[in-house]
Amino acid sequence: MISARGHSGRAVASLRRRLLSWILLPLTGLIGVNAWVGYGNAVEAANEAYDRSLYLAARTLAEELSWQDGRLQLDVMKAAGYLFENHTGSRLFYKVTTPSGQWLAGVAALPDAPVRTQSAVKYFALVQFDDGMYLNQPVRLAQLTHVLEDVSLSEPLIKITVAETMEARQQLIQHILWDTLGSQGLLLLAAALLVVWGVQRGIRPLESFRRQLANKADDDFSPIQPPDLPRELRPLIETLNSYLERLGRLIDIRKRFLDNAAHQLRTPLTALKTQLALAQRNAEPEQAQALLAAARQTTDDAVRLTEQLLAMTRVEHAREMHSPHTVDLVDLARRVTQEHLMRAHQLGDDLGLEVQVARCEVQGVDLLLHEALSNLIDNAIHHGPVGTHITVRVGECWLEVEDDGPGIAPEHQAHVFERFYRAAPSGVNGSGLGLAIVQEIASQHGAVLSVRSPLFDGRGTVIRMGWALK
Amino acid sequence: MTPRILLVEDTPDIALWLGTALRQGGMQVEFATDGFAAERWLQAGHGFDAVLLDLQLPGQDGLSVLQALRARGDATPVLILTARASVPDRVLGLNMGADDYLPKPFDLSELEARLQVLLRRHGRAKTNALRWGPLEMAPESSTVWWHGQVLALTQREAAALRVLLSSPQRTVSKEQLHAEVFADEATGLDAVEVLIYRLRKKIEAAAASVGGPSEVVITTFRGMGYMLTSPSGSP
Repeated sequence: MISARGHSGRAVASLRRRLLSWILLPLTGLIGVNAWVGYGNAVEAANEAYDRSLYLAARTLAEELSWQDGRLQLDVMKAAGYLFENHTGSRLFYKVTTPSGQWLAGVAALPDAPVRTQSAVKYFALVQFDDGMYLNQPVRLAQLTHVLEDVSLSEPLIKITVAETMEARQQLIQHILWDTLGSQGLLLLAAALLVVWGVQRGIRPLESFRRQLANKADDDFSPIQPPDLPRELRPLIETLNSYLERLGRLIDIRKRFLDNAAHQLRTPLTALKTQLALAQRNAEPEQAQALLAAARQTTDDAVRLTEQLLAMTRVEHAREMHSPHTVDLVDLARRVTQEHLMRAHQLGDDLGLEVQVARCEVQGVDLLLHEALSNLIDNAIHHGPVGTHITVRVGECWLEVEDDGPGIAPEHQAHVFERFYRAAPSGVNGSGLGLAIVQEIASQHGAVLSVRSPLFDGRGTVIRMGWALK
Repeated sequence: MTPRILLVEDTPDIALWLGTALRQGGMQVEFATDGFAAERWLQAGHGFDAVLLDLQLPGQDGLSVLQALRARGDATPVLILTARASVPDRVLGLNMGADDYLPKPFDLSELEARLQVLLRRHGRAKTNALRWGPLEMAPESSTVWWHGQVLALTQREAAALRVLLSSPQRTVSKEQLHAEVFADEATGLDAVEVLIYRLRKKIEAAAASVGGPSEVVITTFRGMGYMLTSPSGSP
């Protein structure tokens, strides 16, 4: 019981674990993908915003440029003020060159952005962004091509390059990353808690069902009814309950068989003890002889009963022990009749065989069919008076035993094949097992057992074992 | 001559009462209560006429005792007694050289009858004579005696009687008799009936001449054939 409980406990735990892993693992994956995509979008948006402000810085610078006295004039202080106003947290550098790259103002060492024809469609075609290095630091570059308003110039185009160090961007990106991770983590945690709670709740009826089953008494085969059972589990419980019911019925039959067998075995033994005690007490040799004869008869009955009980048990387990072969019923009838011939003859009965076909083959276990026919003949000999005519008959796929004994009354005929049912008048000893054994064997062989009685003048019985014609 | 029997049986109650019954039946009985004791008796060559052998024995089981006996080329008749009931055991016992088999519980009279058959068969094996009650038949010739007096039979009657005598306790079918007696002659099965009828008449006449009903009759069993039986029960 303890091991069973431990086992079922493990089974429930594993179901829970399975459910959790089925739900939580894909959920974690989905949230991870979601976080990744969200993070990527946020970084892109942030970069765009920073790029725009870098572009604005370049524009501001451009607006402060003017061509005076044949050279470029820049209100550096004003421009720097703008720049620093907008870009706290990262450093800005700039340079102004001619389109051909000739230095005009600012930091000459700033790298140029490569010329790409189709970049930054969101902005004027005149601005280009790029990543570069300055002073061993990664910088973001914005290069604006500006047209000076002074028309007198032969070459009015100048290039303004603004570079920004990445600290602010990186900070923002990091911030976004932690923010995303934090919120998605919380979401995952909440989902996990919900799933665990839900699975726990969902499994609870299963758990109570398990407990009910484990606490069942060994002889309790009543159906199990766990409260609020999910619809999905109903078929399982119904199957289990119907199995329990069948098991209970089987055990009930066994128990009744044992009770009956015990009663049947004790009865002759009790009679025997009484007969022997009386024989010992009786001084008259004649009476003692009569008692001893009776004791012998009782012993014979007990022996017959014991044999039949053992035969019944053997027959019940025969299915696992023997595989069917082809059995010739004619040959079988001849053999079994031969075996009973001497006994019938000695008892003054007339036992004969009537064969109507040359051969009749059925699939079956010879040993069992032998037992069945033997029981039918034995039954006829046992229940008939001295001088009974008994005929074993074989036809096309059937086998029958006919006798001209007392016959079986119609009210008994339906029951003669039941175990321990006795149709004979109380004066005749019998176990009530002989025909039950035949029935068991017939049903194992797919044969039909039928009884016909009386045949004439209220006497005679035919019991036939018939197979369906192929 | 008193037949000597070895009774190998480990249950004291059965050994005691069975032994008593056999002694009362005029036999000399020795006991062995386990396989080793049985082995000792049998190896010593006491010249037993038959062995009654239980299968479930302490020490060495009955089948090994039987095996050892037959391995030595000893043909002493063995009648196996056992409480095992299934048929495979039966086959095994007889295949391994047992002469007969009687499941427990048995009737004392049944055991005595089987034992008598074994003893007679064993004795007959020495003389090769066929015998049933007052009927006796020489092994090679067709001479038949009834209480020692020669019974005048035709060749066919003698042949039919030989078949019946060689099949004790078992029926001989009409077809079988026809094949044995008439071989390939073009006669019908009716000839067998006529033959048996005449044989019956001759046996009855012989019995009447010694005064009294016959101790042997040829009984017809419906659908099964003929068998020699004794109206008194045992032959």
